[in-house]
Amino acid sequence: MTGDGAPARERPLVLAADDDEDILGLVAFRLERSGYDVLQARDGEEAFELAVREQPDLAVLDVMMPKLDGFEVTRRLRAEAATSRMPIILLTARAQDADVQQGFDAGADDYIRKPFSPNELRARVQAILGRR
Amino acid sequence: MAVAPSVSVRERTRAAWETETTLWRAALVAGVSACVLYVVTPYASISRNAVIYPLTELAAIAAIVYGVRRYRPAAPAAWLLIAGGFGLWWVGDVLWGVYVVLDVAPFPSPADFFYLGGYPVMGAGLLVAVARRRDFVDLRASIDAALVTVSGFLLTWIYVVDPVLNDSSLSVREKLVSVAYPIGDVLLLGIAIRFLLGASWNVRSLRLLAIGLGATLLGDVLFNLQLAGHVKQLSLSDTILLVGVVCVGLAGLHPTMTSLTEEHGEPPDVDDTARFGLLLAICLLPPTVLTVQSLRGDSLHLPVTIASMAAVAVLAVIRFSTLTNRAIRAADRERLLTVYAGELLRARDRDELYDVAERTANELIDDGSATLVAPPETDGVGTHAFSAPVEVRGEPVAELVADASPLRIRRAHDSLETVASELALSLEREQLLAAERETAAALATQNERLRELDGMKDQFVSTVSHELRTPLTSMVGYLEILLAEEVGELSEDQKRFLEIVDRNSRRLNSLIEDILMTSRLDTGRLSIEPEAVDMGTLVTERVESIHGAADQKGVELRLSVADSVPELWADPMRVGQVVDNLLSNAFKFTPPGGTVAVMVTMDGESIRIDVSDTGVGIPPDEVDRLFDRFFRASTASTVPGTGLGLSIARGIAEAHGGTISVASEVGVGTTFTLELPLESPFAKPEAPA
Repeated sequence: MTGDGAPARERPLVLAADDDEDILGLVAFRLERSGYDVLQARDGEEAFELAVREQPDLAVLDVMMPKLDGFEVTRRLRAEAATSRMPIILLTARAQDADVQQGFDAGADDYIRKPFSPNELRARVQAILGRR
Repeated sequence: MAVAPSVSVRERTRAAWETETTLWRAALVAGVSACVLYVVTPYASISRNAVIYPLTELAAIAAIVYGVRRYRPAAPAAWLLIAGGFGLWWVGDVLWGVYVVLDVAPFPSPADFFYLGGYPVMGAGLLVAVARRRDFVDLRASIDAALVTVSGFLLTWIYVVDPVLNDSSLSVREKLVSVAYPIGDVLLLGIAIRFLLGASWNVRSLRLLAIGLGATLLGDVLFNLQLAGHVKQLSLSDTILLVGVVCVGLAGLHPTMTSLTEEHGEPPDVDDTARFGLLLAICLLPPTVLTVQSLRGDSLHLPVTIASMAAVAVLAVIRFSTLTNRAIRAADRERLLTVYAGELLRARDRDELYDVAERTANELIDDGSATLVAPPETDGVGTHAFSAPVEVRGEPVAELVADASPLRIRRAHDSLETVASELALSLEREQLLAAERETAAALATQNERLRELDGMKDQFVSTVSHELRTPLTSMVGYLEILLAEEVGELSEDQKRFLEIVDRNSRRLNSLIEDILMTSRLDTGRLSIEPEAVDMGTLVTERVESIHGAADQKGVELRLSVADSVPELWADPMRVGQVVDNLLSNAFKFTPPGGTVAVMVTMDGESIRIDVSDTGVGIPPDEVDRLFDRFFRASTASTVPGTGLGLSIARGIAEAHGGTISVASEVGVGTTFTLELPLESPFAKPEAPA
């Protein structure tokens, strides 16, 4: 399963966005080791621009990010024709159960709470993109 | 001279008062003695008429003059004129005494001139008193006196004047002098009645003066009746006249004599029944006279009777119109005060209260000016016709002053006092309300602040937990990669130590979770997502999940689930959390070789889950505090924990309408019981088919 109009790639391309450099590094390491190419963004705006420009096969977005939060990026991506069907996994450290609902309402495909196990993240990504 | 003035003044005053009382009592004894002496002395004796009578009269005059000098009334003219009237009568009596001694009886004589001259002087004295007492404004008293005068005149005319005028044996001069006496008496009677209606009977001097005047008039009437031949008792009139003289003299000598010319209080607003009865009798007198005359077949005195009846009718009409006006005015004032009370209630602040009071006071006095002024430094404003203090809790806050004609002030007096006192009450109410408003505002501010603080606390907890989870995410994530040896092999020690770091990171995480959960329970924001839950299955799954650990530790796990435990409407995640907590507690505190037994039963109204262990137990004095936040039993010190698990478990149980309880014995074991009612507090989305 790949995004519409995405160029055929040898390895699926995943966009990872988090303002915490260490967590971003963790996500990138885990996914690159698992057979994905990873684009890294450090805030919501950058994530949105990269997603639109590079058309990744999947986006892993932190919710609490500067400039645009994960919910807002999700909504905007859903509104863009080119990214409207891009799979999105949200990462959040926020506590409220209401946040989960808000994430799905914004159009996310999956939702992972921090702290998370990198293996679990890999499993979720694989569940969406297919095992490599 | 250095003397203590206050003491000396007071002592002098007391000494003076004692002197005056002694003096007055002596005069009383002397007066009574004179009267007695006069009565017992033979009628025709010279000493009786030429000595005792004139001397007593002179003593009475001297007493009045002495009283005026000693007590210094504000207007000495009234007493001096009364004394003057008696003086003229005394001269007449002295002359008459000379005639008696000479055994002649000229008529008319110079004595008559002095006698008749006494009437206007005496009347003038009383009129001065009436004027000084501001009595003229009382129209009712004047009309009533006029009614008495008219009726008295009628009687006098028919029974005294008319016979004299028709007496052909008398010369014109003799007739005029004879007639002047009774007419003078009637006029003096009118003036005296007018004075008495305005006088206060509580003052001894005025009471004596009234008795004295009454006795004088009565004596005169008797004397006239003697002359006309109606009365034979010759000594009676003289005795009564002497008693009158003594009484007036005593009145003038009494310390209260100054009140004769002092302004006095408001006359009563309504007339008493007795006064109305007397007025009715007086009004009925002319027709009664006419009736009696016609019944007895006497000659009728039609012109004078009809004239009297006309005068009485006019006076009665005026009298009752004043009553009507008075009633109308009273109703007006009543209405004004009612409106005023309403306006006071509606007034929003102090200034409005003052405005309303001032306007109402002005309407009440009609043609004057009323104002509220700052309270005076000293008592009483003095220069104003009316002033009433406005006091709130004994503190003067203002003074209501008014200036208008004495009549208007007198009429509005009580109403103005009501205005002042109601204003005072409203000001006090306003003060209380203001204080209450202030308190309410302070409470609201405090409340707002507390809400803010509460919100800040929630925000803080949620932010802190978020901020704590971010570094934890990196720790737990990188540890996982390290422990999976994806980035290089680890030595046994490295692996063991990293596992310790990993375990503690997870503990840290569950601590954060517990704190968040506690905060949610506190703020009532614990979200419950209820669905149909089979508790038997749920508990079985949870027990099975610790089977491996139990085997490893050597703890026996027993599970019994009753048949036909119905489904329960609950949040499976939350209830599962409670079961996990109870299980993990039991497991943690049970030593190897022990047993953890779980029982699921149903008692008709609720499902009951018992988790028993053969662990260390909980001391009885700590059982009650077991569910308190951060409380940890003394026997739990060797096992790590936050002290939040049970308080959260109880919170979740209560959120489901259930309870959680404990029974424990140290060294034997502990049983926790979770009871969840079948009748769920949550509304089911739809009724089961």
